[in-house]
Amino acid sequence: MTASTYDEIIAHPIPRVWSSEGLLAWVKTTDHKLIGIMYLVTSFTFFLIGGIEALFIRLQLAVPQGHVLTPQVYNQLFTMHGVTMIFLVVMPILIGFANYSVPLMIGYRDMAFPRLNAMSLWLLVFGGLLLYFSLIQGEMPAVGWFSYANLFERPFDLTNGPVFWAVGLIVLGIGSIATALNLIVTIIVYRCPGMSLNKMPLFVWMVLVNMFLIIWAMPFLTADSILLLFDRFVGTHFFQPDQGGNVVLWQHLFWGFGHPEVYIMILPAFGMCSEIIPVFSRKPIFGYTFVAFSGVAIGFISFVVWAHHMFTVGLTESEQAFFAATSMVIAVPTGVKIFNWLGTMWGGSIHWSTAMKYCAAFIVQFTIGGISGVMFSVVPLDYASTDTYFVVAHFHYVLFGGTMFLIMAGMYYWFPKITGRLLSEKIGNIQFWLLVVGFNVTFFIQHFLVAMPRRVYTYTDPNWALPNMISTIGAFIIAASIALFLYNVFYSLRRGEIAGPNPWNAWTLEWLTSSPPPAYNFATIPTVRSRRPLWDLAHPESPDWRFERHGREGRLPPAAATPVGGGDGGPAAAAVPPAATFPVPRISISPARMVMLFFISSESIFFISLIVMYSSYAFHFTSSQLDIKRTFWFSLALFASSGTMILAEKFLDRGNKKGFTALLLTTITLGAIFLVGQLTEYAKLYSESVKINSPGEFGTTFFTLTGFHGFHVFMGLIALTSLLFLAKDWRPGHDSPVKTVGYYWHFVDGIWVFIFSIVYLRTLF
Amino acid sequence: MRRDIDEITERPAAIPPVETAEEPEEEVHYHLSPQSIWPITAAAGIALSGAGFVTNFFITAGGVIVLLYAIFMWVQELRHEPH
Repeated sequence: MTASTYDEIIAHPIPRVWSSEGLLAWVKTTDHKLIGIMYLVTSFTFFLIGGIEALFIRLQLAVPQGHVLTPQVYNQLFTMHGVTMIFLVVMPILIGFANYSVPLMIGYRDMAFPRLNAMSLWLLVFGGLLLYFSLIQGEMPAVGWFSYANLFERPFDLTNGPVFWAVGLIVLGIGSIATALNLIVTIIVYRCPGMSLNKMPLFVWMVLVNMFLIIWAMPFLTADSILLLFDRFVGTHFFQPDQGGNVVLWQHLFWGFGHPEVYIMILPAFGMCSEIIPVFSRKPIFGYTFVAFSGVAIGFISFVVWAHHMFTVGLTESEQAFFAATSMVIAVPTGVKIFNWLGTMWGGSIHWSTAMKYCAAFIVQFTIGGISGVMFSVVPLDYASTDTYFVVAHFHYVLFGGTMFLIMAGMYYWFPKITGRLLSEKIGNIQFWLLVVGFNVTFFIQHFLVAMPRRVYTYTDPNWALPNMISTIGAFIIAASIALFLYNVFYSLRRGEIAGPNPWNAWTLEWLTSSPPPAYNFATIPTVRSRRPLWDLAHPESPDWRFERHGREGRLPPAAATPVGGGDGGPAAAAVPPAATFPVPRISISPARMVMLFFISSESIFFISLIVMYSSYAFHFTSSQLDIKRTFWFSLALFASSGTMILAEKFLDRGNKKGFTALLLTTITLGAIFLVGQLTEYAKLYSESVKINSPGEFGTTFFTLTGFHGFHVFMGLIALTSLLFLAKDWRPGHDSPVKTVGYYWHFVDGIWVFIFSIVYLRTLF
Repeated sequence: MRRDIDEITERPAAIPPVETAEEPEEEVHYHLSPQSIWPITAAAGIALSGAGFVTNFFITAGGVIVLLYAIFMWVQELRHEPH
């Protein structure tokens, strides 16, 4: 950040360009800040609902053979408590913080796709309402948050409860993937000049990793949910063992989503911690690179640990060994972060604000939850403790003692930026201690209930009575703390101390602008030269960029005339180019095309789920009624359509509109030929009594896999036809939508290569 | 890297206050995405499509129609927005 840029920001503010009056303005807004606030308010409302459900659960379990709830209502409440806290609270509240803060932290004015951002928010709202509509219908799901297939299927549950679960999560999943794509492109494309990846705030880093996890993990859940719905509504039997289905396959696919989900719920919170601790320790983060890359490592490893949730299902020894090892390995990058935060605090001048206290409590509690988590990678111990209250204690130490504490830290830290007023530190201090006591009283005691199974409606063992009563008392202390937090919010909104732009003397760009920021965030897009641009600004005599690495690793800085000692490498100050020459992150493809590429990667995971499902059953298919030769010809039409699409784009590049239109029309025709071919194949198979609900798994898997591909082709044809109708809009240099749809079309063609090989060519061997 | 301990600080911040939201002396416009009703409409269409599975499939059909209309209008807005 240079002083000149800073002066410009003060001197040339830009007027507000949006009206912001009335409820309609909130409904119609595309401003990332208002959307972020709505995410936070919505999620916190659901947090209160989920919390009330937890209180009822604890009341029921307070004494042996309690009768506060009926067994069915108890099952519904623990299901909705889990679903609410995971999908309607933790995930969206972190996304809310990201929505509000990321554009500010990277020095930009909004998200890459503001309308898409608004749609994601409303999908959260409507998805949540849809889930809770089950309450009005008297059919709340009672299948646990992971809705194991044998509980979902119609023979076991005739109500619509499981359907609410599946449909609600699909709606929420669409919103999550949309917002994840948006944040990825925003971070990659719209960072301010000078903000290379190694200068990005760590919160932004963790959000980036997290959003990749979302786009690659959520499709597993979407595929699972769709297959479950097919079993219910279409008559397939993917997960009905008496008809050849496999409930364990469902678990594999579910935990393929479920374990990355654990990190989806914590990584952005790690990012918050990495922002807050340095500010209140008055030191830069210790080991920035390690914090960033350990987040990336966690992201990758989180995809290869899923089956540690399934040790008791009955895995082979080699599978057990593999997943035990990966579950231990993932603790390493997580542990690295703990040492980074401790190293940052070490020797610092710690200012014990409420936010900092929450971070410190997080470190202790998360470490306890982390250690009990690593214990589960020891297979015999997992066998002994699975589905007990020890597990309940473990994941609450991670998600409540970890994530929720950091969310509270984030609330205290960013509330002044969002509202312009500070939350009361006095009330905050009381609220913090109440929460620490309440949380630990509730959940620490549960570690000793290692013999008590979870999800039981009641119990008779008198030895479990006291721990359960203590746990229930703790839950009500938590409730008191949350009530006090709400009071603090309402009190501080009216009477809180005016914050000013930078109440914490923090260093990232969101603190450069006013509190709350204007609609446009920054009058002039800032330029940064280090990880702490506001430090540079306030200390021109010893800016950070003199000491950060800009080139070869490990080079020590020359002796500087500034009073600051040390440094972890970097060139001489004179070698650092002036801010004006710092590069703007330049990406050669448009944001729309980039978002399509990431969307395609997400869609690929969806198809991988279906292909895995098909392949696992295909081993049992002994004969084939497929006509390979015939399918080959209409497949050729589809492959050829990719070529005509490429040619159409080339003609458009040269300004040949007629050629473009003709080739686009050819592409559509070839795609339609493929679809007609597929439909006639279906008709032939149906005439031979091979149907989607026929006994055995061939019909079920074949029609689902190829049908979903056909559906994607159909959507592609609609998009291509839209391009045709809008043909007058396209010209060289204004062809991004054409290329974006082109990517999608090549994807549906490419995925057919795999499907054709696995479904058709496989039968030749 | 060790930069720090002497930097501790009391509020008010060492950084001078920045007020960017003041009324400007001269009007300068920077294009931001305008308000739009179509994102919430599209979201409602998707949710209604799902709601049909637990109520009546006519609601699903209605949801699809709402969604398609919202997408159509959304595209129209984009077409007429300055790039």
